[in-house]
Amino acid sequence: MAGMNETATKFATEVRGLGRRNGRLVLERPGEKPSEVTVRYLRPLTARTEIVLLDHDGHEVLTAAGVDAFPPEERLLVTEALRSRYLLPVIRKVQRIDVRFGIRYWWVETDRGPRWFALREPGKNVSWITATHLVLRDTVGNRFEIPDLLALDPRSRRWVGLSL
Amino acid sequence: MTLLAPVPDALASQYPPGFEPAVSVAGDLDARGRFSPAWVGAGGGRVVALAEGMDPVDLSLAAVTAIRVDELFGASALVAVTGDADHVLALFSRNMVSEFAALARILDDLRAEQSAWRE
Repeated sequence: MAGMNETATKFATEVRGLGRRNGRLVLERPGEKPSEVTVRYLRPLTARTEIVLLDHDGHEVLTAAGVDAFPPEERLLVTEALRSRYLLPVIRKVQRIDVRFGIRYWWVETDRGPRWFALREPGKNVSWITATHLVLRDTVGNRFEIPDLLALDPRSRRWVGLSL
Repeated sequence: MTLLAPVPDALASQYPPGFEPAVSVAGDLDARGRFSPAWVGAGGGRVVALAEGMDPVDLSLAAVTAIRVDELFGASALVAVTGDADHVLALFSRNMVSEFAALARILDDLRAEQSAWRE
């Protein structure tokens, strides 16, 4: 895995850059045919900073410490590609939580709009990334994130506390 | 599961006049991944996709070379490929996986049928 400096050097010396063609992200390197790539976070739940570019076969092409490691003109493309790939709703407010037959039904406001979901077995389906950062997985596998429990309003925190 | 879902009211104004789908699925995410009505229908040799925040997609199935489902982080995308271009027909959450898996198979069959007619 390349470090930040190595990545920057690689970009500066070996990579002509990223572009978007017909809805696909394409990496052009001198002397090579342009290749389609996808952009991922190395650690999508615990640290959304390091970025990896994968080729069509899922092999690592390039690793960067963050979007700032990319040339300015390509930063926007990377940011947009990440935004399109990672659709993890962030819970902004908990309206209420009902418990029926051991299943917790959450009514929430997220950064992607209002939603309700069912949560079973919090011990298995709630990941505590830190003491205040949690990711919930509902009964069909959708994930919802609370990046900072303490940033929620008191009523929402109370609902979460009662439920979990 | 319904494979003949009506067009959501919020998207009715985008519906192309005269289009008669043989199969259609209502989605739950818009083009920006927000929880919002979306709709994909196919019939008469066309596939039409409607969602808030994006221009309607209206493709001839004869021009579609592949249909695929991309697994994203937290959602999936139904994609139609025409030549070198990808067209995202819909984003959908895991709640809608069964419906869109079925739709993808049907679209692929319809696409192959159109391709056979062309040959």
